[in-house]
Amino acid sequence: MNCLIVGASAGLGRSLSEQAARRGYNVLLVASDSRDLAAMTANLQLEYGVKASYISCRFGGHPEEEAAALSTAREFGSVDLLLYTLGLAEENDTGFLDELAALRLVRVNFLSQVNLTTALWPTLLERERAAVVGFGSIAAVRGRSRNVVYAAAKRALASYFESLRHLAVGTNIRVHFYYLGYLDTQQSLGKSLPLPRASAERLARLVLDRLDSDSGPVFYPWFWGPISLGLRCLPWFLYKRLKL
Amino acid sequence: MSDFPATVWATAARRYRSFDGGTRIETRCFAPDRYRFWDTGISHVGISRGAGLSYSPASFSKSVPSVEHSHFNRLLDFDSDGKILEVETGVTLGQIYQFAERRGLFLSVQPGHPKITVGGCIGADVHGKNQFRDGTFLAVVESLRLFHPSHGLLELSRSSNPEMFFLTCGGYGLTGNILTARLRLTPVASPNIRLEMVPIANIFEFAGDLADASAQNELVYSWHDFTARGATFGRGMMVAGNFARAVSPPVVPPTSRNSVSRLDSATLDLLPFSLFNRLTTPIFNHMYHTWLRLGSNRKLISLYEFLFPVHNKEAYFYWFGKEGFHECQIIVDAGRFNSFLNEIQRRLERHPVAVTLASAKLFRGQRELLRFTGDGICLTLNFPRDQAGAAFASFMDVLMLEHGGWPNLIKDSRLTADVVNAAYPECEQFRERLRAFDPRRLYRSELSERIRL
Repeated sequence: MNCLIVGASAGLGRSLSEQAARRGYNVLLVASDSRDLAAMTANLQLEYGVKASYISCRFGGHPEEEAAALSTAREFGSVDLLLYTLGLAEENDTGFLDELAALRLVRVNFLSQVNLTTALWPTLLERERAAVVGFGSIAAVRGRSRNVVYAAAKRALASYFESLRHLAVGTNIRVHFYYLGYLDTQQSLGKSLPLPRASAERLARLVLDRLDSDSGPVFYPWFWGPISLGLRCLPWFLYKRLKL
Repeated sequence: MSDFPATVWATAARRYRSFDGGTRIETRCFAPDRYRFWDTGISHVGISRGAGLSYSPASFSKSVPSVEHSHFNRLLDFDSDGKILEVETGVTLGQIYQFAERRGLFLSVQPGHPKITVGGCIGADVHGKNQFRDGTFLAVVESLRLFHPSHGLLELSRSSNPEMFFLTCGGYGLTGNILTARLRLTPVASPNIRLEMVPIANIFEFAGDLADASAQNELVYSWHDFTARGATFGRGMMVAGNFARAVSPPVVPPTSRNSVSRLDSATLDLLPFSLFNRLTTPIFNHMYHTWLRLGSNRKLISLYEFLFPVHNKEAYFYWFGKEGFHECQIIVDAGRFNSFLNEIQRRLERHPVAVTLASAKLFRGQRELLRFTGDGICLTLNFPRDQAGAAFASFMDVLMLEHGGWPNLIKDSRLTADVVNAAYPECEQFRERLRAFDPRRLYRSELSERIRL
């Protein structure tokens, strides 16, 4: 199996890369910094003996790099599995980002995945079985005064993956989408969080174990499911009082 | 690099404990997961931390954050002709063992637990049971890449910037962050080790026996009962090992030896009291001695069991309870070893201490800077961290200096600057070289502050 992992150099992307290589999958890693990718690729080859390659690409403002990433993906071999773990959030995303900054967030968190999927969908259709996996955020469950554009892009992504799933009905492609809570990654380090962090490694195993299933979106960890439902159902006069 | 999205390198609060329980400090740490962390320069300086298993707190202090290398744990390159493995320094010895084993290779110098990281091995220039033949960890380090915010990335080896290479190997992490290292692997003569157990009735004849055994065997160490009294003081067993070249299949299947170890300094506080005291320790030692004496005097064990004897025996450290234990590891000239032992025996008869472990091995090497090496016999003692233990440890300092011995700085979180100055003739030279390289002394740890490096 050939996997394309976008956003592979750290956190969940790195865990997915390692778990995929552990299962003997060939991996093509895409992320912004070639130093991390070179180290990852070398390690996966030496530890697991799989075919591993990488291309560095800064999504969100470098169309030539995105084109190069796509071209490398095509050369790598027929992709069976697309995993999107890239994401970008900005501390100052509080409602007044300038156009360029907002566009960058939308491109990284949403449009880059649309573009790549559009380009690779025909290849996926040719495979015996294939899967596309996207990752949203519980930050997008309901709009709030922080992560304004980020959450909007993630909500667009959730809608896009729902559409993809609909498009894939009757094909060999499985489409999965995960709403993620806090993971034990650099992003949550040192933060005082109201709920526990989940293991990125455990999530990576779950994602790869479920590739053949045809179920709908998954909240991870599970308790974010009922919390999200509660937030969605909360009347506005109560929701507006929450400090989220 | 400026085109990368800005990453906020947050710190997390940590409560670190030295492995021996002597130091507990609340501090902060970075846990970077990308190389761009090292682009941030002086704003993110921190002392490197690997597995956190060093007895002395060399990877944390109150005044400087730590930088955990747990994400920098990858194998980077392998030159099969030269048998050189390049790794990030957060790689553990267990990871290297698994990689090398499949290729009939091993790292010839390594301490006894698979969770220990390569960075720690370089920083403390550690040793194994074959120090008299294979030297310290320095012997397997071909080169390394060091980061220091004032100097950037430095490639260090015996031929490229050798002074910094030798200052960094055995430099306790004070020269900067060691990011990668190229290590020389050795072909394995056999995946099994044949051990021969030789009873020791009289420890005062042991020094000669140790020298003879070391001349004839690849690996030699001993265990002694220092709670035995009178003529039986120091009774025990000398263990001589050699690769069992005639036995090729491994004696232990790989799956059973690669179980995950839970050894962690942070969890050693579990037991509120020590199971070892002046009443129980002689009983434990007597039982262990009897078990050794009644067992077969020839054993075949796997290389893994030999290299990592502590794996699966971690309960020993937990049994010291939350107060922890002392370890004194001292090299004494072989000619003065019996006088050294005599004084220890006299002291223990007057003021008994629950010495849970006494072990000796032969050392060979050229002393330089603060590296724990040199010619002599290395004696290791473990005992509980209580009032009697503290007094005994202080006594050992004085006795060691009287006998011209020197301590292992990474094994004792209690050593003072005065003791280290007296025991290491090149201590001041180490300080001067360190200050010349890093006048601002950016990298500090509890160890460096305690012994004023």
